[in-house]
Amino acid sequence: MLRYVLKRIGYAVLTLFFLITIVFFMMRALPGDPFIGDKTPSPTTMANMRAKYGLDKPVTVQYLMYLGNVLRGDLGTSLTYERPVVDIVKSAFAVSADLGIRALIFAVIIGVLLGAVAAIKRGGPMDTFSMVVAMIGVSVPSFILGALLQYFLALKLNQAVGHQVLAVQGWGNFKQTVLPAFALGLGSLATVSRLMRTSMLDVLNQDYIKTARAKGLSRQKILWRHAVRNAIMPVVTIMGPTTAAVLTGTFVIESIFNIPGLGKYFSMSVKDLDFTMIGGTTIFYGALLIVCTLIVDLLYGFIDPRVKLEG
Amino acid sequence: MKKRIFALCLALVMILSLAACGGGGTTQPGTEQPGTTGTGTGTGTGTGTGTGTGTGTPAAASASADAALANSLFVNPNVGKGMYSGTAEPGAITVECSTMSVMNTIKMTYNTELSIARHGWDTLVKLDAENNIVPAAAESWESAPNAAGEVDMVWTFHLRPGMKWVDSTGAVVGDVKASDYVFAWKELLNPDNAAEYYAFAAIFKNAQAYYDYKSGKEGAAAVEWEDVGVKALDDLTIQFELETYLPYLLQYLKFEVLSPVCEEFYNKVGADAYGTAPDKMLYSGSFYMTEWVTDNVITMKRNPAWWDADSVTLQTIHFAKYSDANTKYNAFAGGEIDIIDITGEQRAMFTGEGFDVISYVGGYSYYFQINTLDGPNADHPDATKSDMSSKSLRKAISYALDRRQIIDTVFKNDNQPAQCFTLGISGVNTTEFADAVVAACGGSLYPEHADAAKAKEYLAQALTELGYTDASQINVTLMTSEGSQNELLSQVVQEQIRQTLGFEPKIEVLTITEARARRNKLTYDMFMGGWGPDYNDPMTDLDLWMSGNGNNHTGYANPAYDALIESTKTETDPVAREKLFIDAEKIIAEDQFIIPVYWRHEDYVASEKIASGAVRRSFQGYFLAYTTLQG
Repeated sequence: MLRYVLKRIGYAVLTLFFLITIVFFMMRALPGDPFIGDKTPSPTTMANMRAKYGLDKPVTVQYLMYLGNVLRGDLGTSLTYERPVVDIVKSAFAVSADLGIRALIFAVIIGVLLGAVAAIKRGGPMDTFSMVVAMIGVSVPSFILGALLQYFLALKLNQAVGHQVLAVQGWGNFKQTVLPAFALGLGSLATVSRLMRTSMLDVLNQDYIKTARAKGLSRQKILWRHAVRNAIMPVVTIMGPTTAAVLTGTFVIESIFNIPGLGKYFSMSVKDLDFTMIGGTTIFYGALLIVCTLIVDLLYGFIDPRVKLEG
Repeated sequence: MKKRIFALCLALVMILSLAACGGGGTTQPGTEQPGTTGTGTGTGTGTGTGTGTGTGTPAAASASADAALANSLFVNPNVGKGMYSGTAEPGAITVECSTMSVMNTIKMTYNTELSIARHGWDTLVKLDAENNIVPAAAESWESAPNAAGEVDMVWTFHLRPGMKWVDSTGAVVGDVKASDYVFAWKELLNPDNAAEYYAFAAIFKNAQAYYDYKSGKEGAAAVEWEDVGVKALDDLTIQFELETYLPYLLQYLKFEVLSPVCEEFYNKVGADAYGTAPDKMLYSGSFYMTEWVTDNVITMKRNPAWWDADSVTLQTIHFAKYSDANTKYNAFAGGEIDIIDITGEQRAMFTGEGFDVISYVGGYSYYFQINTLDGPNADHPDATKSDMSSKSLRKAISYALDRRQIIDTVFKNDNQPAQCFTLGISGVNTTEFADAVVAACGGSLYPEHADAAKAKEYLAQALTELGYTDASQINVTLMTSEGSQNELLSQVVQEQIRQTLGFEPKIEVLTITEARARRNKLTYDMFMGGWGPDYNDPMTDLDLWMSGNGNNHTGYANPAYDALIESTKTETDPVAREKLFIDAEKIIAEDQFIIPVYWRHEDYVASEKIASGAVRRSFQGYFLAYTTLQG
């Protein structure tokens, strides 16, 4: 077990190292200059700017310095915001994570319930409903869903009832979190519910369920202790990628609902050629993905004793 | 309802296109142009007060001036319509503000950042609602000749007594001293800060030499701060000597980058931390900052310790950033924001509903900049040869453009066809310098609609110049930065050229950073550019095309033009000086190394919560301190 964990952590560090290296040299190869805007500063000022951010040194020296700084937890100063990247990532990710976790909780709880109920009442109206939800969730992109929700459930609803029920945009109070969490979570909800339904149907036909029934266990006990617990395994499997997708896929939702999360820094920094921000957000997201996958692998062992974690 | 649905669909299409081009957006090119404060349609140049030798206490006493100012401010035409009621928070308004990345005034570059600075700090002088220079931190000032007897070279500014520094809780923490202004200017010239707008502090005697020396520029003579001609004589007096005569000095001193910085506090928090959070700054202006969510919202509260706080009734301003035009509209309709900038489509919608759209000139002029070189030269070793090196071809294209059609097709707003290059600068005897240009030239220098006959005439000459037999041999590429509006504009221009001149320029779409890099290297043919003024004098626009200017990416180098602009620096008669600038505009129109296309007008709507007093105009993207609310 310990060996397995250590090995996985070793791979994770190696992956991060390659990520940092590749991103570092790729962003340096992007055409353009971060300090040339619509206006071009004087040559002396440009030289001062380069010196300030260490961009006047040879690229290999910059790379080694950067690696050293990253090891010390220093992601540098943003060229755009003139503030430490770490500070911006911390405060912005706190918002993205808040939104992501809300979306995830919503997606998993509702998704598992919907999937389980659909399987139990196979062919019934709940099954059809879950199918429709899944279809919508999978096929409608979150930005269209977000815009529609915003227009109908915030603007139109508020106008109809005469006071604010849900906020159109912004971040800070509960009214502002409902729609973005819904829009962000629906896609995952669809995946979870479809997966849960399939898995549940499979489990319900297993021999041990029949045994349990033969033993005279109550229906509730069979469903919750035996069926759901076994059927949920595939859902747990996809929790790693799903969590990562929800946490990193917030850019469009953040943009539509004007939420100060990390997504926009990730995408805008490339456009602005904000080298330190590109590096910082990439390393952060990379580390996040790796950690998510790692945690899920370890969780396996706890939920399903049959899975042996070996090196 | 139908209209709304249509708008929604439109917005969805916009979102789709946004996603497709990686956030290129539908903003006009250069919306986020750094460092321009716009200029105004104000009366008079505002340089009158306090200029000249001898004591020049400003004509208007401050208190009455501000009362008059408050009365003359913008009145909201929409009040009482019952359509868009605005935000619910009492005494507060929320307004849209785009870029607000940096709040350390020394390092600011964006127009919108300067708007926030305008509330947080007082420069020595400021602009009133009519864009006249009025006293701000300085109560009065006078000028004297220097040792060589040149007039208006030594200036003394007397600060208003009793100005206070307050922190992010509004608590008074100290007195604003003359040395705080001098300190800020010293930091502006500190190469470690790499301030893009250091040049605003380089006007003092030896200041540029000091900057060069400290920047380690090769061959720069040793100059220490003591040698720079600016000092605080006492707590309330600043005196400086200019390096060269500056006819527009007061317009310069209004620039927000020259705001004071509390020296003691700055040293305490450290240069790197200063300005990175509300509690890492001290404020001396009409409002102080209480909250700053990076790239999302900045909240400012009324500063009761401000010298004119008695005239301020507004309690809170939220500056909010939006990345999505549709969200912004929904937020406005939902009563979550009070002022938003709007697109042409939204303008049509508001106007259709009977809700007045307000428009102002920010001073941004847009034009095709052109690579006029026929190959590399010493200054541009990478430059490519362009068919646009033919002056006749440039003129042919200029006459082939239907500027009105471009505006109606691409922007659908209050933008106007460019009549000359300079926009929004006050004239000597006219409201606008541009009016003086048009009057002196007997009309617009550039046609509003295509003039096919003239275009073809110039095309024939161009073919001779280029040695071609047929227009189809002409090879011109429109370099375009990504974004649906930019791309549409290029397509319209391509079609107009094809129809009138019979050849089709290629369109090349690049990321904005790559396009800028190619622009600077002169490896392009035609590229849309925009320019907005930093200070209210034609110089802010027209020195751009001097041969050594770092922002002249056309390769145009004309000794006659350079000499003309140089001569304005010593000409003391305002009318004669203006004539020199008009001559410069004529040279631009004659040589057409840029093809002016349109003058940008900024359209916005204000909710009915705002009764009056919200200033939005050139050089003052926002000044909201004297805003009054309904009820």
